[in-house]
Amino acid sequence: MIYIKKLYKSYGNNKILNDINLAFNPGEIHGVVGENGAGKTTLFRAISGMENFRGTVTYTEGKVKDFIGFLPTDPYFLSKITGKEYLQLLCNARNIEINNFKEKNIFDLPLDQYAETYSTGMKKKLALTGILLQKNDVFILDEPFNGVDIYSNAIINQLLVKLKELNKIVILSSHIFSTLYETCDYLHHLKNGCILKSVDKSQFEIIEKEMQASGIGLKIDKLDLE
Amino acid sequence: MKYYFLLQYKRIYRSFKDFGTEPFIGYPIIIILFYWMSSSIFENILYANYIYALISIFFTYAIGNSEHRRFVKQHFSIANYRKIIVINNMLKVTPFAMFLLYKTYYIEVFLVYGLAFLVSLTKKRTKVSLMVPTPFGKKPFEFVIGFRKTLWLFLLIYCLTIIAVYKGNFNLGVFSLVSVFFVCSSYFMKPDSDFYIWIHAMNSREFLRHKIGIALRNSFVLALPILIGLSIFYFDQLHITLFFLFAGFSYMLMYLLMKYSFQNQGMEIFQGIIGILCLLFPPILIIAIPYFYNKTIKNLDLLLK
Repeated sequence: MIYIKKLYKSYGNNKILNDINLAFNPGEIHGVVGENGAGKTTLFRAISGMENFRGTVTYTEGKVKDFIGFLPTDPYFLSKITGKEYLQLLCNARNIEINNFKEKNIFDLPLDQYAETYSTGMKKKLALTGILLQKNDVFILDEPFNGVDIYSNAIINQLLVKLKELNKIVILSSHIFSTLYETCDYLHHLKNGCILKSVDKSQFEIIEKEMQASGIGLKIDKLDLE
Repeated sequence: MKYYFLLQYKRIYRSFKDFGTEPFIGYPIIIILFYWMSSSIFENILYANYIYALISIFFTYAIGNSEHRRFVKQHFSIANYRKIIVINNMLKVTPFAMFLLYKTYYIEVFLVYGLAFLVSLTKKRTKVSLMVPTPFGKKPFEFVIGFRKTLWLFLLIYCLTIIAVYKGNFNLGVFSLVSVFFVCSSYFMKPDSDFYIWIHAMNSREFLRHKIGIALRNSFVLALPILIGLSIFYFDQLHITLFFLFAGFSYMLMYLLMKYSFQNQGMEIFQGIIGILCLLFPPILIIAIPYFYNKTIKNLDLLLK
């Protein structure tokens, strides 16, 4: 189980996260929603241990960073590294031995090509394969459906179901509500660095309506489009 | 276009601030160091004027960022894009041209500007899909990437070793050995993305030991053909070969530590200056290695604690 207590993060005077308190249980899928810049990625990086912060993140099974698989929104790949070498690197980092990467290549990626030449969706699928092969217990997926084709989206949905069955903790973000409805058990609405509301599946609609009713029309009018 | 160059100036100004130095102190230091390094080249190297001109062009080409160039091309008109690229390259070689002017090498000044203009017309290749096999695939990282980028240099270095043996020139052999470590050290010049450090289920000391182990082992593998050649054909000078092997390991260790000391601090230029200082004054290594080791551990603790 992961407990987040009184988590604060700021860059100078700019407050990014403010008094975040959350708990994630094994076998649960949590969605974090919010506008761009609400602090979702910073929250994910803080949970993973990639950002310094004030407050506590406790994982009951040990040192949280050694059990987390983190999928960034826009995964960065080193130049001149093939897909297979990327997977090898991620496995080495967690002392996992895999001899046949081709067998594990569920997205049919061209593993012998340089990862930097992959398309946006292929990069995301490679990064996702990497963290799955690491046999993590916690998965933080920052917009996993973004840029991925429909068929692969279906695979990711099935993967999430499987991870839930395996009692893993999954925390994800998405701007597409339909995917959240399908996959998540709980939803947390992050706004201006604060958790505005946390709801279970029966109340997802409330958050969706709240987000949609934030004066979109008035904002567009400001552009004076002609 | 004016605003673009104003932004470039601001970026340089901010990099001094990020380093914790006031720009009015940083600028004179950079100028003094540049003068001193340029003077050293002219005092110690034959045909320094030509080599210096080539260094300036290599510098211009090496720090040219194709992503940045693409950004400019995308947002400016073609005419302004060309102007920006040419002016950028001219500005980059200007300190070198000024020094050549000071040394009264007038023709070389024209040569430097002419070549900088030609570099502006070239395109830097970014994505090459031809996969080069490497012997380091089991531990893919710096050495896989670096080896693929510098394969042609290794072919050249090994050729030099063969010439050294064939012509009976031990010094050339030592030069090729040193070159291997020089090339391998260059693999540690760029900082890693946080993610590639964070993924390791290790603490800072374990991570560093792991990295040092790989660096020493892989650089030894690359130096091995030269070591074998020099040991067989110049056995009586084995102690000199081993001395340079040890020096090579020390320098590479230094650059590795420096890389992780400066991780996340965006100070590649300063990293380069310290690297050159260590090359010019090897005794600095005795202080620098332990200093950077401690700094590295503290810096890595931010990600691996």
